[in-house]
Amino acid sequence: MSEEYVLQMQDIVKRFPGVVAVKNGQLTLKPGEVHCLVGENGAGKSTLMKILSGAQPMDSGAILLSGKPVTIHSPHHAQQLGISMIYQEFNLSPYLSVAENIYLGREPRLGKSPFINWSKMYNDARDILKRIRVNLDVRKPVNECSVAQQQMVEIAKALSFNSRIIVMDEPSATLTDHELDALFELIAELKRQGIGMIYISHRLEEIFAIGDRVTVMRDGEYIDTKPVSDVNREDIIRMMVGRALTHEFPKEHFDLGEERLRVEELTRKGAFQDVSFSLHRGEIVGLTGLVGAGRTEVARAIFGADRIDGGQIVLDGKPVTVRSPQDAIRQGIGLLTEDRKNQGLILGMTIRENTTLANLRSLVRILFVDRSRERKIASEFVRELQIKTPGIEQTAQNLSGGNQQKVVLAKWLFTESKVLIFDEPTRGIDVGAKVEIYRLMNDLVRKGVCILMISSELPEVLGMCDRILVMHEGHLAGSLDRKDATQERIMKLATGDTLASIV
Amino acid sequence: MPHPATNPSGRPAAATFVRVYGFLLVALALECAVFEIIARSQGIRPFLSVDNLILILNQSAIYGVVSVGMTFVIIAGGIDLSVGSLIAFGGVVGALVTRAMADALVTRAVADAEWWALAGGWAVALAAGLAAGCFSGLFITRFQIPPFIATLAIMSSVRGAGYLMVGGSPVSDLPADYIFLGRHNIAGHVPVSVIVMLAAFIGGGILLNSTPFGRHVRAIGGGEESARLSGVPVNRVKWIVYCMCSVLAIVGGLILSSKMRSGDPTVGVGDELQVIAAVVVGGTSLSGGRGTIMGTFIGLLIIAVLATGLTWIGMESFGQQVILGIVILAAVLMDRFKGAA
Repeated sequence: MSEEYVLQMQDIVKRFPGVVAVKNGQLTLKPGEVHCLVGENGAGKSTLMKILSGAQPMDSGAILLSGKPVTIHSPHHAQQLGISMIYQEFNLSPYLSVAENIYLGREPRLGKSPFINWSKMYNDARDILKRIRVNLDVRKPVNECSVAQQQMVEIAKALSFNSRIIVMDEPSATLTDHELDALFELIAELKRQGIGMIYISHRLEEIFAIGDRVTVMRDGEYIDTKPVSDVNREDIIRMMVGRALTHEFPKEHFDLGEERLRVEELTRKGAFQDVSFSLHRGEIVGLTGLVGAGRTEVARAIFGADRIDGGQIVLDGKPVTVRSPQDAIRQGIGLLTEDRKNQGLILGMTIRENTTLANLRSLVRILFVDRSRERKIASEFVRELQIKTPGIEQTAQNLSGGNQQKVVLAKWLFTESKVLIFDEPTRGIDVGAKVEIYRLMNDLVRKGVCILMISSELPEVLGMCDRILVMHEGHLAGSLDRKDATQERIMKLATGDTLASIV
Repeated sequence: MPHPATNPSGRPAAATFVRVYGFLLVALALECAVFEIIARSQGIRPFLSVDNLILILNQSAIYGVVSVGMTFVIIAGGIDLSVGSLIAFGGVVGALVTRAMADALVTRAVADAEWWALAGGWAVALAAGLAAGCFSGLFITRFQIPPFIATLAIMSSVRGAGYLMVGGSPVSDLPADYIFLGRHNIAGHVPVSVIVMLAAFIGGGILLNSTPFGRHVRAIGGGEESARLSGVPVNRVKWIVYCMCSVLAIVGGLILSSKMRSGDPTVGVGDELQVIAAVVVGGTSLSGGRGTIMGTFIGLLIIAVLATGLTWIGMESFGQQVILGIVILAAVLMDRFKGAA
């Protein structure tokens, strides 16, 4: 029976230091099928696909192509085996033509000479584009093509390898509705030609538009595979989020105090529009939504890292102007970025230097940094936050993810901010360290700091937040109180339902 | 059992010093020893002497002053190619203004006319350097032009400007006191230029190690986006760093022109590379974030001792260039292995 599948992935396991990214990956694909792969952020979809494309080795499990077991050594090897990936970020060389990109690295030659056979290359490229019914000049430089056209070039490139399996990772994210229709037509055409496709998307409606079967993953585990015709939207959402709360969330409740931060109709063109909300003393507010919904962008705008095009920020009742992170820090706003390594820490600097970087001014005595006070402060934070390190002169790059995050936290604690924005504070951190960070958040709230926590992990949001703001495609889709919030409701808001329709 | 690494005040100062500079100091000492042995075996005058040390310092004063500024630029993750041209430009502007002012003041019989003229020449030259640095800084921060390109452009324009001001021939007929910076000795032995250089190194060292500004420079080189999001005024700091480097290049130019008692627009070609070499040999990483002023000083001495020593034992300048290239490569290789360990 196994010949009916062009691809079988069985019992795939992939561990990273401290995390099991994929515990039990299962996926089968028939020729001419569109198989949708869904799950929350961090569910293991991308890792599973990286294993399929040869970008990462698996720890155990089996991959069968047309029933025969294979070991995929590299992305190049995967292509030779007929597996092509189309990522959200294209792998095209911008100044080369469409045809040059399709045949990059394996240009047809004039006989055995080292010279390129241009007419053959252009003709072959034209043939492939004709096969997928795309009308595009093969001599056009790729940077002059639209995003949708570039995607077509990627697909044409995949076909030029005689791929039998094409993986599309969020192909719709950057397309307009019109371009999306064209993509769906192309997918239909590929189906007719017997090519199997794995389609990853956060937009559930697309599954019902083009999918044949759907596989749901959650926390690195395979949940179920169903024919799309047998399930509805609610079923898929339930499968995606329906986990028991396994983690400890040491949530403490505090009396709600006066308003500290209010943003009014905040707008940044192309990122988010008319976002309004407020934060009060004593509360942790969650900000969630799918990747690309504009959460991080809102945080960066409040923090002055990106320019805003409209709206205003009110802190403790007074409108404030925040033009740079410097302004924000001076006003008492801090941002713990999602990307610790490139945006949170100076990896080559020591714990001591990273801890005091955002508030070095407070350590200045007649022009000079007071080293002994600096050492004392860094040592206190290391002790208080239980940062595991041989000493404060250890460079940040030598710390584990959890300890790095604690150093970032120490930096913001030292600024004595009124408002702290945590962007994915526990991503890539082991469970023990997560709980410690939650406890520190409680301590901060007790001291009167208010916290905006951006997170894609719904259990964390539900476990720690008093109120949850959900974003969808740059808008605030709704706000849910702790007692009304459920994973299903959040997912519905995040995927485009309105507040009125779900309560 | 007490563990030295858990000492909250960090390692003892002496141990840190040896760990950071030990390799460079050993290299410098070896170099001196080799020249001393060769000098003795060939029956030349001994290489190691106070007079020779002062000679070496005196000859490295110009590169030394400029290398302080260059160290800041490179630690901040940038590069400044304009310093060679600025060395020539500083000399030309300083000489022109000094001569013009001396002529004007002497005819009016002002007291201390030559000194006023000299001070005027310095002031105008330094202001011109500040302007050049502002331009570099403007293009690098405001318009996000890569430092390599921005300072390459400044290098070309400033070189041309120097020629235009004097029509290609050096400014001469300068007042006698013009040699103060380059040839005057304090207390009979210590050249003013060496004092200026040591002041630049000490000031630069304090600025880099002990002030928030220095910390910010290293933070920017180590991770510009992290630094920005920690409230470091990235653009302002970079701007100041390029201004500082340009002004120090002008100081170097004034010393050189004072040594030659002329303002020559043709000097300093390729000096930017000599300066960068001293900084890199001193262990500063070209990718930014890592480096010390003390390291640059030792790097400068390693190169200066090499040049003086090779001349001392009678090697001609072409051979010296080959050996300098080998020393630069060896230093950077050693640094690479140290980083990997």
